[in-house]
Amino acid sequence: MSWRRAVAVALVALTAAAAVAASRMRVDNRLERWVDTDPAEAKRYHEFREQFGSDEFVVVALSGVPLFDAEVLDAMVAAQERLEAVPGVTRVDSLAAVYRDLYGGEDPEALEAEATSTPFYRGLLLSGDSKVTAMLVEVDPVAEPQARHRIVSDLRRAVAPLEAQGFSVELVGSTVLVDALDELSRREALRTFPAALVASMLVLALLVRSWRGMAVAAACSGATVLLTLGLMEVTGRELHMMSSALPSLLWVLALGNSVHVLQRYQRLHEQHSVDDAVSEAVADATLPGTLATLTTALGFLSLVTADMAPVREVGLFAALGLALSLPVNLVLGPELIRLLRVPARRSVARAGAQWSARTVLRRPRLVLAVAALVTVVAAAMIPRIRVASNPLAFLPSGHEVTRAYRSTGAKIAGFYSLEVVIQTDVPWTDPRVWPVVDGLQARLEASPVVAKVVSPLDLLRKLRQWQRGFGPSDYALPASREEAEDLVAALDGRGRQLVDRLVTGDGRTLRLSAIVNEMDEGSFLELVAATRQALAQLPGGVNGWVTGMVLRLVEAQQDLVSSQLRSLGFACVVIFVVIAFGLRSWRLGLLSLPPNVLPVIVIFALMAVAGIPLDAATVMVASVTLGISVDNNIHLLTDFRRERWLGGSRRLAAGRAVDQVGAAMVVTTATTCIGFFSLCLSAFVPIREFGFLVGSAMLIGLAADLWMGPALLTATEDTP
Amino acid sequence: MTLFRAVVVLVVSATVAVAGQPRDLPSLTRALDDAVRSYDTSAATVVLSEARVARASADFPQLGELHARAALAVAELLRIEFEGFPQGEAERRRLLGLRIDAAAEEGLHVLDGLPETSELQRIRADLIATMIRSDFRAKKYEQEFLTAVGRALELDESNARAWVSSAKPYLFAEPQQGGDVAEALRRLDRALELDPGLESARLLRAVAHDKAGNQAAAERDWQAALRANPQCRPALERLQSQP
Repeated sequence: MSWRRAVAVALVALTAAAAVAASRMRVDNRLERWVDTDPAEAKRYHEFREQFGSDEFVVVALSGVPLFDAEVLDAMVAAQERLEAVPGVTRVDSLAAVYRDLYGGEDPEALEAEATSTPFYRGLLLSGDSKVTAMLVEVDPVAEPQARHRIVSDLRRAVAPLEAQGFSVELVGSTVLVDALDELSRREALRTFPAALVASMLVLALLVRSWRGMAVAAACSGATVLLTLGLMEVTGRELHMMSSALPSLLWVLALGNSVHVLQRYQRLHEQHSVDDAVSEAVADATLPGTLATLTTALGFLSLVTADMAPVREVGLFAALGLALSLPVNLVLGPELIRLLRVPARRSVARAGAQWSARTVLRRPRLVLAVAALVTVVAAAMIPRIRVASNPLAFLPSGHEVTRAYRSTGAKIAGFYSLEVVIQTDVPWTDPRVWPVVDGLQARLEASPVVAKVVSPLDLLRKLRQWQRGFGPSDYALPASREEAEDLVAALDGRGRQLVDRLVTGDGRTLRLSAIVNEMDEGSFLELVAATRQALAQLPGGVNGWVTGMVLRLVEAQQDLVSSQLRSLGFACVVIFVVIAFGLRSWRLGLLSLPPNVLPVIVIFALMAVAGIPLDAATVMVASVTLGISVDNNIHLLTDFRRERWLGGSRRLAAGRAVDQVGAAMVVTTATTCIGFFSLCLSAFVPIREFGFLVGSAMLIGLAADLWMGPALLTATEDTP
Repeated sequence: MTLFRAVVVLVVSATVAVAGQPRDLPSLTRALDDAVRSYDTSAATVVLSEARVARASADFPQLGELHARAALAVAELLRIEFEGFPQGEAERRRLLGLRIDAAAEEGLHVLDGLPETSELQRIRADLIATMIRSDFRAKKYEQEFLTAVGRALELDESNARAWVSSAKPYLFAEPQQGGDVAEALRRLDRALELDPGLESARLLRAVAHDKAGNQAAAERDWQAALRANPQCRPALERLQSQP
């Protein structure tokens, strides 16, 4: 047995073992995985959680019934008790709780007066028109991937009897949204990815005109994916929101090189035996394949410097996967071609590529001028791209959660909180602190995205009102520190719990919870910036900061986007260096950049025009585009250099290079494009947008490689 | 004569014609004492109805006091049922609460027309106490309750029942809200000094001992209450629930 066959057998055995390991792979989409970017922020948040408890909540909005009818309140109390019994629920704030705990389940008229006579409950537990009430369910999911899903299911079960009693029930909040996104993405991935795979394989079979050829390419890509997933599993990794993209990413990147080997083989097999054609195809494809893989792998490897662990993981395993794809494509693939006796077929793509080359090579300068114009126009549009997303827009507009968010957001409470922590030199019961806290609360409430600010001073006002007999006129701050301290000292266990959620034991650290009713990240970040500015202006003796789970997630996403963009910049440098060294020509290195960078610029411009934000999902498009473009470009440059070395003119060399690799470029692009465009049928917006953008990027990349590449090579000097 | 009064007299006359002579004051008093002793809400309700009817035709202070006591008995017995009701049965609890309030308000209305005595002020305080079933109601009625209790003791310091009433806020309020089990015990001891057979004092002292963590003393009071009245439902239930 030759060493190649031995390596191929070993790879098959490893792939089989990896498939077993990959089948055990767990999926962990917990939010907590994303929020370890800044250790100082993480420490602050953990301190906040220890001091005040969880800031994650679900809003159960109830309407459609007269809220202060005794029977309605009884039903709400029953629901309150079912919600309190749900594992993972730490607290439920609602009018039902007030009715039960303060009114003993009696005197609904008195409860109505209590709820409507002061601003205390307005906007949070009761809408302005008193037609909607909210039950704020504080949750603290355990560190387990399915915890949120279980909580949301249990919550839905707990409130289901209310719907039977005529209530209109809607659930909103980050826990619900994350669960809905998770659920839909899973369902849609299962529905669309296999369809996309089948569609792209059919196109591949059609273009290479051989089922056996298609099987070889699919086997190579599949083996790369399985080996990578197996490696992740045995090293204790789990799939998460970002690494879930790895299988399709590696599939596409691995497919590029295997198609290049296959197409070279099919062309050579027209005149040579299978063995000779395989050997020569491998010899031809080894340098460009290695350079292409190295370039893309190094680009991904640059992500290991990112702050976020999931991004580091993706960077590392994408690079490892690409490294694994090299022996698979250069050893296993050729052995499979030999084994299956893949027939020689003239690809239908070859004629198209040849026609394209002829056209371009007649007017290279015109092509370059058009490319320059497109680049300038596209670059001018890039500043319009939004770097903030709206996770709600990930769901279809008719989705139950989207509808709930729309109808609830305008009426009551909000979807998540921005937590403001204030530290003072004197206890919170000191009247000197009150204007500062009230001032900050007023500034927060002035924001159009803040539905309500939960402040310990409002609680103090309420305590005073309760203490003095529930009269609305007594809803005011105490007259002195002593009165405030007496109010706090008179609290029973339940009251103490309320205060403990807003003030620490020593009374010097306070929490203001700004309940936000806007899902657009941009608006939220404006609020964060305005709050930070307000906190910077606090008087001496008082200081504060912002924190919260959602803030950390949004900042993590911003970090993710910037780390991806940094990685993209690094990848450009890597492309130049690898090609310059690999082909021993710094000019070819430089010439490789424009066809690779143009698709990225155009795709960003397309996102700006289509209003697709740059977020955790869409920022990956640039990396995929670059990966595929580089593969094609390196194959073209390698063949161009060889043709030049054989003595042909620039035009002849460029024409021959396109003739040799153009078909493979078209096949790879068409195959992956069909797959990605199939994803546009998905109901999950990120999948749909990802499919559309990558598909478009592939086409633009092909155009750049097929037209701009040869045009550049013939319009400038080179030193092979 | 109002139309209501005319209707009541008509109904009473019809009742008398059908059932014979109405019970006199001593009979009604005995019937009420029996109802209270046996914790029989229905019997107490019958006495309350009869007192109501009797007062419609002949109103004099003793009958008024009986009417108020009957209202208090009904309110307190319903309150015992209310406390034993499961929290989940919100609607039935609330309806029971409405019945307690109706009885208590009837009693308070009767008291408004009677001359002030220590015992009547004590009855007033206890009627108010039956309506205090939540923090909201505690705030709503606490001043009225304290005034009535204070007045009852001011008028007669040897009114054992008034001492029992005065112990209630100390016994049932949270410590932060003025609850003080030791003070409640002191007042209940005083009540039992004045009337060693006073069942309500014995029962509340058992509860107070329980709260103070003195199980043995609580047990002694539960047993004593049961010995004095074998039909004492709270003591029976308490002792039966113990392992």
